Amino acid sequence: MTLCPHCKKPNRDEATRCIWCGQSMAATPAEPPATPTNRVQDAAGERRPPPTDDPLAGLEGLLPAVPIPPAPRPARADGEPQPDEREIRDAELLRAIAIEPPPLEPPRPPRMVAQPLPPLRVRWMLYVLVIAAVLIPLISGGQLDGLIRPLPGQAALAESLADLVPEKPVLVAVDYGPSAAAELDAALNGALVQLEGASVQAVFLSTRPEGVDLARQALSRLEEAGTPPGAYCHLGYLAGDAAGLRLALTSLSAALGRAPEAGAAQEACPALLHASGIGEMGAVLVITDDGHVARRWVEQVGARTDAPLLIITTAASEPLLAPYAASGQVRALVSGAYGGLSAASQDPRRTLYSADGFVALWAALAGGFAWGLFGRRDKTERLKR
Amino acid sequence: MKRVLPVAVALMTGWIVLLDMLLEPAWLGPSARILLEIALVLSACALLYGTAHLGVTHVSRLVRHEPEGLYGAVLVGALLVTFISGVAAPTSGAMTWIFRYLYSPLQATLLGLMTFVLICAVYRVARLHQKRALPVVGLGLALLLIQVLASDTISPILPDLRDWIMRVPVTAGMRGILLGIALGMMAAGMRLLLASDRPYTGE
Amino acid sequence: MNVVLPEGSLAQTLGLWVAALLTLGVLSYLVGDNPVFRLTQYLFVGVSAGYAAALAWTYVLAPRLAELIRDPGSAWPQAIALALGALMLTRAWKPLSPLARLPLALLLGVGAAVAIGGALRGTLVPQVAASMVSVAPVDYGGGLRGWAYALDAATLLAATIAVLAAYQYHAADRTGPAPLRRVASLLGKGGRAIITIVMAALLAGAALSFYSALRGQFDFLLFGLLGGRGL
Repeated sequence: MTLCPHCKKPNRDEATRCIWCGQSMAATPAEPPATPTNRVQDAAGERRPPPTDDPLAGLEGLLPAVPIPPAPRPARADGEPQPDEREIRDAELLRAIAIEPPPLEPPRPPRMVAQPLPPLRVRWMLYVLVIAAVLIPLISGGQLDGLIRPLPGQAALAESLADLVPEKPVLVAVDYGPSAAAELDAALNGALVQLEGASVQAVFLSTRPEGVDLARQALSRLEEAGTPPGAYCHLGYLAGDAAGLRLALTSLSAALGRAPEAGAAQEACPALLHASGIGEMGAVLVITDDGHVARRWVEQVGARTDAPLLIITTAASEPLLAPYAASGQVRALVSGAYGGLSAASQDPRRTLYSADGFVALWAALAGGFAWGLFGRRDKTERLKR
Repeated sequence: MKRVLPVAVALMTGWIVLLDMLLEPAWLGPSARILLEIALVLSACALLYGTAHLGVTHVSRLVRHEPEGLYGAVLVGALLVTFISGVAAPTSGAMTWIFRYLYSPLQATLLGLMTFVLICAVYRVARLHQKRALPVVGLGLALLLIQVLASDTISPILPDLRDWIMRVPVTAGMRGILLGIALGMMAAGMRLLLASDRPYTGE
Repeated sequence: MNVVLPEGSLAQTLGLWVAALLTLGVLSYLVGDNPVFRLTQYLFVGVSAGYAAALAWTYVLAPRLAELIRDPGSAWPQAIALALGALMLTRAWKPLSPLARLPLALLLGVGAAVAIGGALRGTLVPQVAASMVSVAPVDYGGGLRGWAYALDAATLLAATIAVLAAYQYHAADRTGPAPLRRVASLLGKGGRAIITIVMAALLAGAALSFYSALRGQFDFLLFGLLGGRGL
């Protein structure tokens, strides 16, 4: 057993690197104190023969420097083999390893696991497929839009909005970013039209910074559509994530302070005269592209109020929220991609929003998949495989 | 004292809010509300300091003439202009302009770019026959097909099949995952409220 | 207050072209990483950080500060909150940095409590309760329909348990009697299969969402910019 020159921990004799600290065993920081014999050797500068009791005395240099394994020792009289010195040392080393956890290994260079990107030629073909999928509604003209059956969540949303009473306002939480605007704007517009039809006041709020301006844009659209200004109000940004929601549940004025758009919350927003907190609203409509934000609404607000919680979300977040819809905690769950199709078709502005595009997207992805799976491989790829 | 006081603050405030949430005693309500409001203000302060730190980091990179320093100058410039516009006139046209013509196209296109990344990933998974990813991608494509063709006209089974997949296997799987997340959050939270974890002391 | 940028104004025209150039700048990544794409990345981070900070000041801190100045007597909670917020600044100066631990402790303590309360009352209890449904066809009206619903309920319950077992299947500690371990292993494998379905559903949803974002930008380039309309 050899001690590591760096950390002084035991290692096997033949170890080249310390199993504890990872340092080289060869680099001894200090020479051991020399014996009188050694001193003679060093001073003379010549090699002395091994001790005379060695059976190989005189043959030094003729034989290769290979360690000779020790001869097996005779077994004890009772038949039980006796451990030799090396085995005892190994056992001691094993015990030391078992008792004392080794330190972290020295950092190793990371193994390259990332595979190279597809060749440029292939990538461009794939990009063309995607662009074709986006532009296909220009040619097809939305042939499939009329064939899509409304999702179950859409019917539940329509029913919930129809059940609202004008006395109680509805909180509309605009909690999505501009990246999801193309998917969610149409569904939000559709819901706002239904709210207006039920003469229910809408109170806008955002727990995500980006939502504030998107709520302003939705209000601009309402103004353009001729909705009277008293039908809605904008409370602005609610900070604090879950803590902010928990506070707003019982007291909106405490949660919002006197933010510019809220004024003194109740004064600027007549709808709030009937509700001091989110818990007293007629319903809570959350539009978000983030499943975790939606979960926060369910946990902090939905679990503590009788007001129905309605969620419009992106297709990417819909699976995350499916259990809440199944358990009844979310009264209506609408996926934006398909949920907004009917509202988008009523929008006079021309867009590429169409079910045809979704089918084309599937075709592009399936084409890419099939090409990868069955496409001809060049020589390099075959060799790699 | 450097450690005891923060631990005491974390335990006291945490337990007051937790008891108020779970048991809702009337006498605890006002204290919990004040603590929540303080936490709300502190989160806003943390956001401001984080932004300031981002700016300082990039300014120091610029001062040290690091290779990416010039990009940092763009970042700091955009940060300052947006912040000053937002503070000086939050509902002004300048803020609206920045949001609609700078922020929105950047965020939306970055997400849109993922479509190209996704199709390359799908191709690569198929090309390399990655055993673990192949079933996910294959099944994903099948589910996408069912979703995009969920029409009575094509087949009356397709819409029902889509609903069933969302209602049974996806709901069950996601429920298990959500329960796991909730248990994990509770475990992590309890470690904080029992002072086993004290990240605020730097331990 | 809703700000509408005047139709056809210089600000709007300039904005449309800037937005179009930025869109193309981000899409330039398709030809590979390049300085234009990096510039758009840094610009995006700068604008988003500045925007969030401005909102935090405008909607949270400024109103409370104004209230404190207006009525210091009744706004003592705001005073404490702002004082603790100021203490956070001491983190930057080492001799005083221990003081920053107090607001951090409060923030983390309250955050943990809210997370626990929410997870317990909002997810754990309702979701477990929703899993405990009857698997008797009679409870669903009997007949073929009753059997179908009962089968759905049983599948839902078994699949949820299987996914939970998948966590145990992955855990390092696998003690217990051998038959139990075998059942846990089988359930775990089933759970992994269910998780694969969930991942596939998430992938399908993500594809639709990414596509929608891209489609929105093409809408802007084709109809918004060339048609001369605002975003």
